[in-house]
Amino acid sequence: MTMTRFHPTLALVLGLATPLAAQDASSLAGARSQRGAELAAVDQRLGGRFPSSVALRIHGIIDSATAEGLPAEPLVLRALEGGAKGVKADAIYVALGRLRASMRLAAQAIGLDAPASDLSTAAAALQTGLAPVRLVELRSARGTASLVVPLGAYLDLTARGAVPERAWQRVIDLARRKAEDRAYEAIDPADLVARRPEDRR
Amino acid sequence: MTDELPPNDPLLGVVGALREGTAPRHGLVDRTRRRARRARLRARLSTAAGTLAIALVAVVLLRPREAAAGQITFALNAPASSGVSLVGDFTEWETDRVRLTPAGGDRWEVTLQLPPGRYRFAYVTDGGEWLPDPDAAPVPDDFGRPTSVLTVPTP
Amino acid sequence: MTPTDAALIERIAAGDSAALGMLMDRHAPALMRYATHFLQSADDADEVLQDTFIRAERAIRGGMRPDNPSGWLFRIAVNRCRSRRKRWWRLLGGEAGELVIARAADPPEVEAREWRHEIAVALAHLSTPAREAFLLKHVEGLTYEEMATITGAGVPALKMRVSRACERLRDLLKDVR
Repeated sequence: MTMTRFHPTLALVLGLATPLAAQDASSLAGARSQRGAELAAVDQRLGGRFPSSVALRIHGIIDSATAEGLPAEPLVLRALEGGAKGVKADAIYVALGRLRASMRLAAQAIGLDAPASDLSTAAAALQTGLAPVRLVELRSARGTASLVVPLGAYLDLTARGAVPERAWQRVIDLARRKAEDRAYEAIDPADLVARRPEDRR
Repeated sequence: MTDELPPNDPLLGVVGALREGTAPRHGLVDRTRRRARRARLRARLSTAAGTLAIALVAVVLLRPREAAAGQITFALNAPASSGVSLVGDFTEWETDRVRLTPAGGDRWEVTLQLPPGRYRFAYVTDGGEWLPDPDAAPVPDDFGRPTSVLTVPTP
Repeated sequence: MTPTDAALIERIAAGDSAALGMLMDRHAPALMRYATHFLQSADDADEVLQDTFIRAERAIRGGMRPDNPSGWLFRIAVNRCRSRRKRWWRLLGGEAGELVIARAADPPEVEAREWRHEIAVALAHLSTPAREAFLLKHVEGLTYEEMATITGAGVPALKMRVSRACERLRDLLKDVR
């Protein structure tokens, strides 16, 4: 996987899904007013991939999340992911329940009006053990800027073996210095791995 | 229960203190205007990003990781595969929407234009094998299949 | 002649940014006071005010013509404060814990600063709805009917919240002054 400069040789418009990042940070009231339309779309996507009993139960989980003001899209995508991977319905329900709980906690930290992409990435970070108060720190340091890149960098660094506390310090330092998104990409996980057993926390 | 505090209520001193010393900060009007302008600009950029999201561009030439406006080349070596699909959040996990093209030898590639964001994805061979991206960070997976994740930064 | 709020709102709708500045000058002090005490942070309050007026301007340009502009602006600010509070308060200790206040014999200015700090700490020990109700009632001097419009809560519930908030504050601050 490589990022490249624009070099069009063949363009095919295939109607890709609108990604989470393109979703605007709508207010809670706005999100609720969109709920009817959102759930109609959810039904359609889920209905085509799952037996009706499974689609209905997934719909119920998503419905309860949107009633709390949480975005539906990350949950829909996780359900579709489970469907594509051919796992049992119970595994999908469990995964959706975990994601809903993590997004709820993330929303308490960064606000229900945060973009869906911020909430789902924050939820992923919480699931790896990041303390919710860290999200509060990051929200404060980033102002109104998206949290996806710094949290994504933190998750990638720890996935590559960086000590979580060191990875976090590097990320929050950049955020406080108002660094550009590219700066997070440049963090080398090799600088942050544990060199002694007591370093790993 | 009366509406007002009685004359000797100690809370009157509390209320008095709370009514002092909280004037709006200097320059509030200008700062609000600047922030409103930034919000309008962000909204326009977001709309533009949404429009870009529908374009899929296949690129033959592979460039090193460098400045990109969301151009991501997905590539892997899949010996003996007759075909490979890319599946992920951006395909709504449909397994036949984005196909990789042969790039010589065992290599398969496809380049997508993606707006900033974080995406879960994987490759699926025509033999039904799920493969992670060799360069991307691995992620814990609720479903027991190899999964990768990609963050596209703002340009 | 000083333009009315309604006149300013019509001018804002027509794209007059000076009118927005005048509306802000008129209403920002009360909103700032409320937001500062509710959020316990002048930085956060400043952001809430910016956010409030950005949303207000957007709504006005979208056709909103509030009957009671002051109450309407308060309603936006109260909602923004609630949303921001959810981020901070539950994660930074919340409503738990006992308040211990020690009072030292300090010079008057230090004492006044500490007194304000102690009040802030005591306010922080109120539940979010109780703090909101207390500030709107006794610091902003609103009627219960106005508060009901702003908060969406019923008058009996608001009276109960204010009463409990007062009891709790008296208790927390009884040994301080």
